[in-house]
Amino acid sequence: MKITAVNGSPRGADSNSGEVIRLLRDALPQDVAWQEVQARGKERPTPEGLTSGILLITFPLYVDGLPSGLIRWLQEYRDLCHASPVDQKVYAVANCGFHEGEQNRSALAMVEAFAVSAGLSWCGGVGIGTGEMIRGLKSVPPEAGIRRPVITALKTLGEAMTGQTALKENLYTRHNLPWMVYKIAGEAGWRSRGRKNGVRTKDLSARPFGA
Amino acid sequence: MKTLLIYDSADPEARLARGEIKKSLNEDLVEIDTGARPLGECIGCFGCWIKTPGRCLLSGSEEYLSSFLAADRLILLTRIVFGGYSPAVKAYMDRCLPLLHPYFVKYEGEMHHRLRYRHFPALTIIGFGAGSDREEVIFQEYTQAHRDNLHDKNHRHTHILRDSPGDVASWLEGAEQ
Repeated sequence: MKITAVNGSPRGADSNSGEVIRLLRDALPQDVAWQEVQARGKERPTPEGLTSGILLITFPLYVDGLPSGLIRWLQEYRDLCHASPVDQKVYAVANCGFHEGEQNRSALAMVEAFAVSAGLSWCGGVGIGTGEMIRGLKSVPPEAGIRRPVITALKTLGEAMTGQTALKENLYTRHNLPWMVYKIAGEAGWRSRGRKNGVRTKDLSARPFGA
Repeated sequence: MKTLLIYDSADPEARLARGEIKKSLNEDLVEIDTGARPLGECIGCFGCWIKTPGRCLLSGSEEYLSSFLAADRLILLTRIVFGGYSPAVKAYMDRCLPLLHPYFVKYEGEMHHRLRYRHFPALTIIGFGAGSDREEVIFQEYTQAHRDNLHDKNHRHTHILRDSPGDVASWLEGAEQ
């Protein structure tokens, strides 16, 4: 089995989307052949991607949808598929910084629409909330309670990919912590990152273009 | 009333619809042509929140962000690509991150970012060229999510052009009443 993993994050390999690919690589059998590609900036799809039985697309939610560079990449991949039709199964993992994994629903629907328009088989996806924690928790054991919902959803996706079957429906998940705790911890994180860059807390609210 | 129109002149159908929109608007109009002035993609560095709050570290967006905030209405004219915006138009939307605040609020039952500014333009979204009926449905749902992101209450202001760009003028007039 061969998988082309498309990382749609503008941050590249060192991103939450890159970490999702690593987690799935760990969850799938060792004999799976992986080809990883970036879909950002000036990166373009190549016909080699068409030689895999599975296309896995991972990306961060940008303004409720796909990052602009990934949209362009998918348009060009669709054109390659129209020129050389292939039998390929498409899976996707979207992650967002909001608490609710369901906020990825339109973005997953867009990947499904891409698959349909390219003549590929849509097999479902996972939408992860609290996505900024995927990388932040990578040194925490996968079986830890805070990671369990996300790891379980990715394992379910990995099993579907291994069996080359479709998920019954898209899965939505997040790390295991309450809404208010995530909000408080997240905002403290922004203040801390600001201070490290010499930005005082009150200046996080600056309005450089007026009121 | 000040209106900011964002469209892509590289798309012939967008050019036609843009002409109809211009004819129908009796107001102060500023245009951004994403074909003539493509904007590089947002790289997700969050510099606009934690290094230079409110300003993007990349070049090219200052005038755009200023025009965005000065407008009473933003008209987004876009080809529907997989149920979302075209990549050129989406790049402009992605680069709006400096207009949001890193802190979270609950809006319409879901987590969103706080708005950095008190005034935001009302969002009017006009799409065309969907590849299927399903893409049109996704577009309606998606534009609603985009509105929620900007705390925009104009829930009915998404329009899909199906037959002729001429119908955009009558729809715009109706939407204003």
